[in-house]
Amino acid sequence: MKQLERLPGIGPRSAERIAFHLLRTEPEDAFALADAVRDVKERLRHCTRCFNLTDTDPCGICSDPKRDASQVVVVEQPKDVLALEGTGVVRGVYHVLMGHIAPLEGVEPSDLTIEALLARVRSGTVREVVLATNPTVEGDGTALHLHSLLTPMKVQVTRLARGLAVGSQVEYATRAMLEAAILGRTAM
Amino acid sequence: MALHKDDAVVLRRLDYAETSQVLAFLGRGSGQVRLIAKGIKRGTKKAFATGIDLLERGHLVFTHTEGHGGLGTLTEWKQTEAFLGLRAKLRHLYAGQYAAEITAQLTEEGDPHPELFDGLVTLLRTLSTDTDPLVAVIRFQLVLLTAVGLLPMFDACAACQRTTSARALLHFSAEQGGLVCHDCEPSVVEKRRITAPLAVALTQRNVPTALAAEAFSLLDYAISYAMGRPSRLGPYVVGQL
Repeated sequence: MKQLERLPGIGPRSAERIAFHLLRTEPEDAFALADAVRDVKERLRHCTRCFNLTDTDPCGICSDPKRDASQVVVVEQPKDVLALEGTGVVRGVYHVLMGHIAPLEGVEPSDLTIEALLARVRSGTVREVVLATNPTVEGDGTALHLHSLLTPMKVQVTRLARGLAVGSQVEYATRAMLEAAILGRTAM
Repeated sequence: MALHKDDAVVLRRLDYAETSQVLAFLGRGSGQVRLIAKGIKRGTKKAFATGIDLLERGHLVFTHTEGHGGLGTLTEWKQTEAFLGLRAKLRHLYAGQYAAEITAQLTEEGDPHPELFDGLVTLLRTLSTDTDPLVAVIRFQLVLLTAVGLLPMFDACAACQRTTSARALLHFSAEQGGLVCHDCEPSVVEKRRITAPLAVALTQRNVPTALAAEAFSLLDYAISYAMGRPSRLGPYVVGQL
């Protein structure tokens, strides 16, 4: 129970409930969970090409011949890859920066996987880099920094659109959302 | 529990636990305020469902409570100005973050400075345009140092207090609190040499663009001395990183 309590979002009561659930469950189900936990630590690592989490190297996305390797979508964290893959729209491959530039928190460009991204672009196979960092001050700063490095490399650099969320209402949108939506409007 | 309201700018944002954040604001009437925004990352709270970003301005509603290390609780935030223009250029963005860093470090909770808040808003508006960020930041450095009572002495020797020609004040000492004259300079250990045109410009509080980099560096040196550590964003503002 003490080990379960160390997990995020799990308090003493939840830990107790999970522990008793494991006691009641079939042995093979409990062992499957234990094996999965072991695999996470023993087999999961970062893809040497895109830095996404993977149990094979290169990862399934980088080694998929159906993906468009000339389009690289740059994200901050492996979780962002999951979110974008969920859309089913991205046909390219990814590059995970492992964070964002945040000088206030002491995170500098050299702390990220920027050099590896530049090496991928320098290899000459990349046609477009899609900057999919978060639309925050740090995410925008990271995107601007990457843009300044990539522009001389004669590669198309694009940024995710921003503005109103699908399903939201104009009257409840923040000023920043509305400003971005108006400035980034597209022709119909 | 009493609710407090203020006009504020976000200075710092740190993740706390899984879904919460600790935010530092500069309130016009409250000074620096550090608050916990519970569940903000879950995105389900109507009061701040869209998240809160650094350097945005808004209407702040909060409570002062004990617990959470003396932190108050953010109950409502309505963004009123996003200063999106400053995100178009890297140096403008770093200049905004530099202002947030030095403001958070040099102001105290419960010590309001309305003129500093107005200066910060003016700076963020200026940085949202194409104006040279360095000149705007220097103006803000002077506003901040004045507000917190740490403005260095530029019109007399900080060591002997004698008024002399600006051209005779060619050293700056953060420890002494300003420019130092020829006579006092040898006995001052902590000092840096400055040029005669900069000494004149600082005395007249009018820094031309040509001297902006030197003036920024000097004021950042004074601010870093007051903070007890070098500013993290300073080198980014002058484009060294």
